[in-house]
Amino acid sequence: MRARARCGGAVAGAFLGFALAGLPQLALAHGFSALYTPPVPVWLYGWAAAISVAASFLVAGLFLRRPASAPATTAGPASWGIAVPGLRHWRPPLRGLGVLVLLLCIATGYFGSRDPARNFGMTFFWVIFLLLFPYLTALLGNFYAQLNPWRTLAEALDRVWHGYARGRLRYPEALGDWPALVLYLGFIAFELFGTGRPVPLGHFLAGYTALNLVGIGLVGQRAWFAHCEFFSVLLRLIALLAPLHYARDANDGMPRLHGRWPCAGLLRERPRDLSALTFALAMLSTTAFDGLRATQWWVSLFWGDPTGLMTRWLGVPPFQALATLRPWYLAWESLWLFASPFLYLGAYLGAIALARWLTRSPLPLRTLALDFGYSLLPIVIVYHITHYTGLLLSHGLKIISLLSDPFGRKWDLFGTAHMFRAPILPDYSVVWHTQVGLIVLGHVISVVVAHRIALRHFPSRRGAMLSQLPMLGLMIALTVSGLWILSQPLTAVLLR
Amino acid sequence: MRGYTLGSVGGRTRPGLQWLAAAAVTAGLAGCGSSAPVTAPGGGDGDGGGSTPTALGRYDLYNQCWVMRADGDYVVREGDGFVASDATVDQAERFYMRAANLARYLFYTPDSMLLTADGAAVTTVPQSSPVDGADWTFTEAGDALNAAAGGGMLAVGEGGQLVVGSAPAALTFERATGCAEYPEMPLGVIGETFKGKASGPVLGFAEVHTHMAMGSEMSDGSGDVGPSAGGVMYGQAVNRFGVTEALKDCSMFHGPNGITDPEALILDMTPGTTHDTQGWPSFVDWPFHDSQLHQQMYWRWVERAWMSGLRLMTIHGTNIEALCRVAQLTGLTRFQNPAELECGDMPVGVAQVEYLYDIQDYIDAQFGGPGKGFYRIVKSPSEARQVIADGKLAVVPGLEFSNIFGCNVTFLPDGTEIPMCDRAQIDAEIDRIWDLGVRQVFPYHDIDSALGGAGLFSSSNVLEIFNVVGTGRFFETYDCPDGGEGETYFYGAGTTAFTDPLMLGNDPVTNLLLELTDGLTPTLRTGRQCNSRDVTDLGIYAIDKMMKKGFVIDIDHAELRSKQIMLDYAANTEPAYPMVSGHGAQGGLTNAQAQQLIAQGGIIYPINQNGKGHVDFLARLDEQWTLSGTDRPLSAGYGADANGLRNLPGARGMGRILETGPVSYPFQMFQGEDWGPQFAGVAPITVEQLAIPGADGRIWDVNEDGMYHYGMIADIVEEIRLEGGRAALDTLYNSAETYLQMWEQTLEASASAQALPVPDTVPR
Repeated sequence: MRARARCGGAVAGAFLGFALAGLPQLALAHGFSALYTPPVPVWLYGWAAAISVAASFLVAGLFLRRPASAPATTAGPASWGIAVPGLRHWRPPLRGLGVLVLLLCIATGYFGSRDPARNFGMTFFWVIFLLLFPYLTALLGNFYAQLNPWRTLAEALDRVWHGYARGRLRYPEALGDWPALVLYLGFIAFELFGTGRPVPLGHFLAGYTALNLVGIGLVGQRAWFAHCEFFSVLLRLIALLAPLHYARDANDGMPRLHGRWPCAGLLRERPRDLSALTFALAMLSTTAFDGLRATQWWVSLFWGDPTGLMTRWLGVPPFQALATLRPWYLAWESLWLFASPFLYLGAYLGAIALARWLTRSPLPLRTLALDFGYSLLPIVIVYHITHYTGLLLSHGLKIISLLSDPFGRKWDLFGTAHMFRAPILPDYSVVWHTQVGLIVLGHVISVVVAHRIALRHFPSRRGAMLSQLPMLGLMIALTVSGLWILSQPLTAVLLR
Repeated sequence: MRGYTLGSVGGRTRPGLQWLAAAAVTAGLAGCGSSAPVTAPGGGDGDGGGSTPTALGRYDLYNQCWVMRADGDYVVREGDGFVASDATVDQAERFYMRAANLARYLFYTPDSMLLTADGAAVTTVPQSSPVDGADWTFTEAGDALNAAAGGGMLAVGEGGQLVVGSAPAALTFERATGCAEYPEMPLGVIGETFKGKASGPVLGFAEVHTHMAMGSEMSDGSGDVGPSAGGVMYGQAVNRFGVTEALKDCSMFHGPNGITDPEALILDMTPGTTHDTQGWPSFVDWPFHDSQLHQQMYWRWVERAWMSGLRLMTIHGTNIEALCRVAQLTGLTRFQNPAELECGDMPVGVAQVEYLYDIQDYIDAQFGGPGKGFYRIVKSPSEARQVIADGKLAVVPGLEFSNIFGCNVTFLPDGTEIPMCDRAQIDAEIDRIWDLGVRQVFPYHDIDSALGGAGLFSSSNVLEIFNVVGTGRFFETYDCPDGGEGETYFYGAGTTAFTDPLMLGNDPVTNLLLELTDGLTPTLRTGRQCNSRDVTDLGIYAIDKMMKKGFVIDIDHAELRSKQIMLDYAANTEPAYPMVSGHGAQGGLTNAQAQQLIAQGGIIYPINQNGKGHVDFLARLDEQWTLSGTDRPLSAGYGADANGLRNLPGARGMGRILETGPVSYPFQMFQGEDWGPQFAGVAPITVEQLAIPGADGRIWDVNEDGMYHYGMIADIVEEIRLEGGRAALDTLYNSAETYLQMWEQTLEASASAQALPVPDTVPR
């Protein structure tokens, strides 16, 4: 009888201890892993980015001038309205398609393959809708407002149940966009802390559909989509960055495409209230949180137990109580996720208050805060792109194959089941430097936009510049922290 | 678990979905036509129903369909039990006799049940929930067979009822049809792999670095031997109940939704991450190319690789003793009493090598008895040539861990070192592992030993901690020559201190601290750091003894200077004693060393990569190969390090696919474009996309996510063909021959080494 060899699960526990001692890049392969090393240290990128943002501040301060008149609230001065009669014809089938896709996503959630990569709903919703749609919106304007399947369903319901879409109650204006924010944060929690399986997605989409239909029945579709349906709120804000926007002509009622400078929408709109401002900041903070929680620093903060309190409480180090502590970890992360918009709000209000003090502005803090609120939206979109484009590239094309096999049952309805399953894998160096460039670009645009807004409020160029110094500090902090977060996953294995 | 009725085509079609089914059939369902359960006589599907041999031995029932007579009467099903009655052959119960191991079988019924001993009764249990009593051991009794399970013999009781008793029934079997197919991992290969020639160079490729014995149980499931080193590795290479047990849901190990999987918390540092624990048949989240803690070398996957031309494979027993010691001290154990843990490198590694023989037995059972399986452990190059000539896979056992021969070392605070072995122990251990069949050895691994220092590489930061636990001090380091990377290096050397990102180190205070503490603080210097400890006097003694014995020596994991010492010492024999770099030369390898290694008859096989990576490596190797002046043809197999807590190769990506085309299923091997004249006369095989039957069955596509597991080696070879054409295939399929030549030169040089004086000190 052979001797029992039981080095066993020992190693599992031992891994925990060492990794959480703060040691990076644990890859205990007998083989080796090559890590991507940027050509210069990350801190140099941070300095370079900070200097770039500061330089853009100086350039904006020196060369931007106060506009002769306030921009119109509808079409901007650079707009060129084009009547697009085709939009009218395409709209109904596209709206019907939107509903069909929603129903297919729900159906594949419940009845499709448990493999997310073989499930149409998983790929369409998490990759195409959540990633590609915002990018397209930033380019093409708020087309989602036209195709929103829940709006289509509500209008269809309204045809058989007259008055349904007008609602039963008057929407309390004091609620502002808080319902959308709550739903949005809940959704992000579902995204970050869920299992990422098809059935929960089916639950979510079915439940969200029911919630939308009930909500519309209560407060009416106009208020619901303006304040509660968070995808509408989110994409409407992103559309402010777009060089296109859609509007019906006041005279002939024809749908028209209006052109404008990119980000010009940010100058024409401002958050209505604190809830809208917080929603915009939540778009920023949740993406940053998603990146932060993937860093070793963040993981060690809890599991490394730097205070020793948990070890005292548990009697063993936290990593020995993984199963016990996991719910607490979820609660801990949820706490920070839900707090993150308000932390950003605090930092933002602090910067605005400082600007107000520096310029001795008579304007109320609330007014100034709201006026500058959407200047942060360019950062939102670059954060989104830098964090998630990799997922879009690696999984987005799979939607073509999934059209032929939406339930992952080895069908091939249209002959595409085996097409484009391979991921697009850009070079790591290209990825990193693109990320750096985008982060810097986003912050530079924000600086410029904020400066344009400042020139409206402060009579002198000096006053405008002075008002933007705290914002510049905030921008630099966001730039450097954003780069630091992005640099953490560079430990990805290159050999593939 | 479902059974697949032989002869049926497709599955049920739901009402109203006929058009969908038609579309699917038109497109060709993946996996159809080549999903034989396990190899049956003649390579058939086990449902032959042909004539019954006149005399059946205890190994002959394997994986075929039978009816059984007990004491002369056919056995029929009666409720949950079985009765031997005067029924006709048509009424007799069909049994698919799935080989559980040598002369051990499972009686698998058409309704997916297993005939099972339950106390004194014989009953059935679902195949999806097998128990010990379903595992029957057969013995021969004249012209009949006897079967035993659950402490008794299969007997005929009152009224013909089958029972478990002391008077065994005489069992005879007749070939039949109508059995259910036992669920098993498909191969997705049509055709038979090639046999070799009795003389001349062997054809096939060599894998020189795997850990097939790693897994959650080092037996076929009946032995309760315990997990292999690590314990975190879930899944088994073999199991008596087949794939449904070997690769079943991992939630017992990794918790519901995988929430306690150490990989998420430790390897990936994403503690909130979950994974789909279901293994067979959906395999949603595992195995996966970047899943390090799930089994990557299930035996059918190795069989698929063998069919694609794998002819030689080195399998190392492995362990990290210090890691285990920490767990033992801290009580961080998984289902085990810390006091029962065996942490020693040698016992654990040796147990894994012993397990390789169990795996060989299991595979033999699937092919009809001892010696009949494709997986043959060999102890000499001539034996390997014979095995390969028979068209089988030559398996070379090896050992890869730090404290080889029990040569741990302890450093005292004053710098004194206490070796835990002496020359006599080294001699004894060398003889022991040689007798066990070990033929390839690593003198060094991840932490320092009495034989010398570990080669530092990118992951060595964390290994510093293990070095402290294992030896009592951190690594002492020096600046790697020429910065440890760049034009003079074939593989970069050294580790980058974990303080680098914090911009610490290389300052006067730190340097003073390092000098004062002399290895009692972790590596803090910036830049690539190599290990100051190289070969010790005891180390050169051990290396000399290994050479005298004739081991193939792998220099990976040796410190950069140690590699030079070993290469120079190996040059003293006539011919030179060749050495192996089989998976990336951790610790570094300069171009000059690479050329010397090649010139002395050694081999440099890369860690296995996707087709693009492999071909890129060949270009680099070709340069050094030419500069070395060797007249051997360029050759490169690979070392996958599968089950070695290493990510397998990922996908090539759309960019490469647009340039070279995707791996297009099914594809042909051994004939057609890029297959050279060495394949003349070799019948082609058709490799299908590996897919588990059924709507829920996993499809593995190398284009999509690379090498999910070892079964995808065939797909990787096709990538290599696409990327590198005939030249790349030539070097690959020449790699088994190159390994054997290296091994033969090793033995020749070993004879010369025996004339060398025993070294007292390290020649420098």
